[in-house]
Amino acid sequence: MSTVETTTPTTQAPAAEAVGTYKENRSARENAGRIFFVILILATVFGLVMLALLITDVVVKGIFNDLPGDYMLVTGDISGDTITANEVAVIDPLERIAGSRTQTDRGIAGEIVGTETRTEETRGGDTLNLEFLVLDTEHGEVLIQIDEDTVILDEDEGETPATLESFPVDGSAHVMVIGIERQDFIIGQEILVGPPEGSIAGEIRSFEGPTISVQIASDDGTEELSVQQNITLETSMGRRTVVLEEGTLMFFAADPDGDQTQLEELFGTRPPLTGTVITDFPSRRPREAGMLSGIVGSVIVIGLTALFSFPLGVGAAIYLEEYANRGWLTNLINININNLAGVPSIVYGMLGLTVFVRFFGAFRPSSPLVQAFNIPVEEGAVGGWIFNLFGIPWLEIHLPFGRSLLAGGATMTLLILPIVIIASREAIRAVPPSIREAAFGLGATKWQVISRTIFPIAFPGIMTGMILALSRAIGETAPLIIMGAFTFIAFLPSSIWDQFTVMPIQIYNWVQLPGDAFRVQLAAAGIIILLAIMLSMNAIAIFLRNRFEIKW
Amino acid sequence: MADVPIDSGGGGPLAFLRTQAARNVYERVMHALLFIASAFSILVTLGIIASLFGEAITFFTANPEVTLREYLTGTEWAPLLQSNPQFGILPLINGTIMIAVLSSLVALPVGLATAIFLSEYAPGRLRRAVKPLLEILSGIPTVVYGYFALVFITPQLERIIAAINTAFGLTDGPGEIEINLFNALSASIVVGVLIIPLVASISEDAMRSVPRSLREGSFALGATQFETATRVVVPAALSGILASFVIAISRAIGETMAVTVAAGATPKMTLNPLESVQTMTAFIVQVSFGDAAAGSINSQSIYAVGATLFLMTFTMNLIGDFILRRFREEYE
Repeated sequence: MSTVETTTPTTQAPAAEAVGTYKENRSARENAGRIFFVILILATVFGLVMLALLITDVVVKGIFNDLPGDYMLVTGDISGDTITANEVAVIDPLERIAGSRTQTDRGIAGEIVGTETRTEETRGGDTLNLEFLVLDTEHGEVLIQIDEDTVILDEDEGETPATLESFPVDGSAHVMVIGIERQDFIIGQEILVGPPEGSIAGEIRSFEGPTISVQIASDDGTEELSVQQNITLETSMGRRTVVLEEGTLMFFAADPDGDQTQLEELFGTRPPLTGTVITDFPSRRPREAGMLSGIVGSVIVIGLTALFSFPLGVGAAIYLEEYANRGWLTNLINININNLAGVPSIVYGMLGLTVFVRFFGAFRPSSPLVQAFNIPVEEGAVGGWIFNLFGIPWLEIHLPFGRSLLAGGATMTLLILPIVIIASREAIRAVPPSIREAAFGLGATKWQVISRTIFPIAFPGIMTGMILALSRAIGETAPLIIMGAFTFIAFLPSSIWDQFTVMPIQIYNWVQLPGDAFRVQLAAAGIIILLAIMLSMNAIAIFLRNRFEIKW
Repeated sequence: MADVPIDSGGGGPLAFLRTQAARNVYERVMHALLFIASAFSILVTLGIIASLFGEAITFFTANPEVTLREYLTGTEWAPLLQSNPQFGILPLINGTIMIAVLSSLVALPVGLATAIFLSEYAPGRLRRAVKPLLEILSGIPTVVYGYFALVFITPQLERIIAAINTAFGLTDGPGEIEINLFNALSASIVVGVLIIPLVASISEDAMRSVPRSLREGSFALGATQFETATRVVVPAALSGILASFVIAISRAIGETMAVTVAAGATPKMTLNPLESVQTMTAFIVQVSFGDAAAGSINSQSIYAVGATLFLMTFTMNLIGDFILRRFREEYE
């Protein structure tokens, strides 16, 4: 009522004036709506720009940027941007920094101008002495931590500066450092001490120029290898060109036993998303890393999930739509399914771990069940009770399932079951009652009505929901990590009892590895593949919906 | 009667299958199988409760150094330390709630505005185009959102913070704003984006079920379209909108991969979104990714954390469900 009063002219004011105020009010009030619109459109534009940036970002990093090469330490004569190499050491940065969650490491170089010692207290209450070199670099003074793990390479052999005191601090010694960046210092992992301006470190980016042969130092002496002459290095001081000379001596800290073909692969750079990402197994080396086992694992897990969740989900939906009476049990099942749809996916991972991977520990050697029936369980990585059902050789059963494809598929089934049930129910509900009644009128039994009329009519809708649920399952990472899917799987599964990995786990693994090659570029390549598969599944679902859906 | 074949062409070895009695048995078997399929979901819930709480209880009983009181009130979470591990869950809850709150700040207004637009303004064709888009947006794997946060949003935040530092002359000073590579803010932004479709789609459903007559009554009283939307439709659909908020926040609490990738692994009591934090979900992933042996204190501790997480999200989902049922305005 109050709304009416404020918008109708009051008796005191002349009518014309009232209409005027009303119009003013009206336009002012309409402006509120316009402002809302402007804000909404701005937000949408902002969102679309972000989305476009994300896509461009992923595509550029996944397709057009070359993967960086290994790290190199070079000693030689520097003039301008060019270094003529005397000795080259190729280093695998990941070998030293695997497992740390820090920023990418960078080579840094400078003159030693001092030393420093800091005392820090550990959580346990012990005191810890940290020793640092103070370097004068392009980036100002940088602290380099020296500890017992630091490898120090010295030009003057025999006089290795093992302690801080033995470093000349007058600026006469030039050092290159590869290490891990911390808050305000760098943990030195490999330090090369040389004459001033005689050495540099960085990431191999590309090769060009004529081919020459260099000496490769290996355990069996030296051998010759043909490489291109000019290497572009990305260093902390910018891009530098390293010129190799005929007979330059090269060390491969990364792969001392590698044969020539492997060594040549070390030098090659390539875009992250090439055929090899699809055909290669996981690897520590960015340029050899791929997600073949992840793709195969995902396909099998999704196949098993479809196999299990279709009868369970559709059966439950048919029961709830066609059979269930209104009662406390139906009510409970309904509420329960809605709640299961809201349970975080990670919880399903823990459920899968306890139930499918471990069977609540029922087949541990010490469990009462095993001892009572004297079940021959094996210990170890696979473990459990392995037997052949009915003595048929290929019908092998493992109890518990262990961290197998089967356990993964079963876990995923529980995860998507509520979604499948809800989608199937909607599809079944869309079948008009007249169809049911006509079928009953012809004398069909309930199951005949369901199996021969309702199910075929609802089938396209059920399939659409099923594919959408599976496309969600294919991107789920957390439950399978919790359940114990592996990261480095360098073989293809031969049965559903094998260990496995899936695409999103590979992507997660790459994202959390240090170094832009993994963290940014290979992850982008993996995401492109994953999204391509997901979007095509969505497209199939939308196609099915439009092509076969019957409007009543 | 029961032995008479129904098919007139009856005969042959399988004729007994077509008798009325066989059909009745078949009907009953199918009925039973379908009932089992639908009751299976209850088994799943029981399984979740048994596995989470069973192992969580083991965690407290098998490790005398951990008490429930310390677990619920302790402010230090360091279970991976060899000597003197600490099991106070508050830092993990702190991280979880911080990310849930910050992501709601992103998702609730934007999601509600989207819902208002879709239900009150958008022509049918536009709505039919936007809805599947929202579905796809919510279907993008969360690990992709994590990548986006770490590789794209965090560097932008770093740039903005650096610009603020320069603009206010804070660089290298005591008041310099520092941002961690892993930070709660960037994780919150992507989690917010991730739950926008949820808010938008549930709220839109609620608003569209508000009957036309209410809108027309409002227009007849001279209200603008915006006033109708915000003062008539939104209050009428309030239960659905609130439920969408609660469900979205619950989803943010349970969100795993985006926060694991972007927010870091440092459990701490802080309210600074520029620092690295750890959520409950991220801790579970951290332990699981590191291959904790079954039966070790670490692998048991994830069940305690998982049970806490389950209780939190379960309660919120129940509240959402309750709001949806209890405060629903029934219209004819």
